[in-house]
Amino acid sequence: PSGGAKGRAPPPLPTIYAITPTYSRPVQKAELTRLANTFRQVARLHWIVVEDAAARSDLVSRFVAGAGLPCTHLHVPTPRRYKRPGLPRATEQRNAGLAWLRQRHQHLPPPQPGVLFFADDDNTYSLELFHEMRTTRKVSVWPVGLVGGRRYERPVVENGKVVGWYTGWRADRPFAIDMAGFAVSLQVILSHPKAVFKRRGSQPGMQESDFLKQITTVEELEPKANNCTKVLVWHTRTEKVNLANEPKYHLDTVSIEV
Amino acid sequence: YVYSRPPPWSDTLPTIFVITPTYTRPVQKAELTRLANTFLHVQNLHWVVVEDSPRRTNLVSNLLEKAGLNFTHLNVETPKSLKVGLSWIPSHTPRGTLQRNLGLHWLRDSFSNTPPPEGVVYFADDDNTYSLELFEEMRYTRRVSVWPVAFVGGLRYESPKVSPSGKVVGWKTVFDPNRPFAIDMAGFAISIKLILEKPQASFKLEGVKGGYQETSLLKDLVTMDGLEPKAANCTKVLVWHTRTERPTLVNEGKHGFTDPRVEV
Repeated sequence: PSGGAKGRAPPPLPTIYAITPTYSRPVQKAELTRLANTFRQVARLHWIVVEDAAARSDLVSRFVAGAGLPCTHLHVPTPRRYKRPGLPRATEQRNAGLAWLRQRHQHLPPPQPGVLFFADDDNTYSLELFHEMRTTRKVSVWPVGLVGGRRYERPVVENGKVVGWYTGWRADRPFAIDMAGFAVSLQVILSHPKAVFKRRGSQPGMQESDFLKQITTVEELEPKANNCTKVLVWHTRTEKVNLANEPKYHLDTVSIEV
Repeated sequence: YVYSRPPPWSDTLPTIFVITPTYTRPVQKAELTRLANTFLHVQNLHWVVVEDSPRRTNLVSNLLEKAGLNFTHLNVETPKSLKVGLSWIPSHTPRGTLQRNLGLHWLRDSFSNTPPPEGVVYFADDDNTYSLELFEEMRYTRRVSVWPVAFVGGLRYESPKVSPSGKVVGWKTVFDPNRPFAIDMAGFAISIKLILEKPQASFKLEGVKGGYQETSLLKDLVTMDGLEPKAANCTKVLVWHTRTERPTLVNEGKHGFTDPRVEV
């Protein structure tokens, strides 16, 4: 402001924290690359990448170093006994992201404007989504495309409040929403230090619901994306790669990362 | 909401014309969205989107209007069958062929060769993944440049074979390495100058054996020893031939469950 102007500087843009669990498989680098290409278009986005691994891999370390946006690189391995089909995935990795955020902010004075969301590495995000989630006061929600066996699932909104769930699977859940369908303010995460994704007592498909009921109520939810009528994120999945022609012997003379 | 803008256009930087064939299916908007998010980083990129459709759809029109990119929106429908004399025979035109050719046609219509514009053409399918580095590698192509592509031919990657002197001398593939150009659509770029110099060069429509689509175009443009290897003499992977799973829409039922007016 010029001399004589009385106004204060506008408040800084809340930082968006994207927590992305990731694991090693052929398409990992491709997924992280196209995700980074999206995230780099978003102002003040801090990417928390959590490997499902006992140690930081060279691939992800190199990737993070050259990613072109602020990154935190964590890792935590999923215990063997939880790696069965039907069991929730990425629980430990998402919790590690939450723990890092809590640890980092515990000694900083409030207010700390920030919003976090869980960004799986194979989903697709429009840039508009980040604009929508940035104004989250407590917990915001929106539709998700291509999930639940439907073109989309969404919260049902009446008079600006969530009153139910439009979903293909178990609409009776307290929060019948996909991981890609909500964001939480940093304040809420810090003021609920025990809220984590659970393993014990958690049924498959209940991860999101069990988490959200620790920190909010349906009544409190803030509907985004035009009262939850626009699809701004898609639950895309990438095909498994065909490596049938990879030789067992007579490997290439150079070692190339894909 | 203020939509993103690409870096400002430069009068001195060669233009990258990206030709993307696309067709309607549930993941289309998602694919085009994440592609746009990538292209928004690249300076002097002109996106030529060609729908396999009798009409340009609202979905693609609106996406392109909002994306902020320089674009051209075309359409041509791939016929399911062709009339030959009095009978109909099934069309064996591989997907994307007519659309890519229309893209080339538009370029030839839009630019004259005297003098030729500085630029390059790249065929980018809407489900692949592109690093930003790739576009800078291809930007200064003199005639035809080539590089490795991940996840094609049943391999982690296929690559041109490059001699110590920097010339392409063969193809590191398991599937039919003796093809004149054993390379995927995502693995090469062609200078605009060359496209305009050889107006007859286009993708063959019928009778093309599996894996020979690229050859059907490149054979009329260049010989193997004229290729320019990029990506550190073809030792780096900068593009991945990813494919997106078809989403299971079982809960839509026979008559559709969700509101069709909500665009996905």
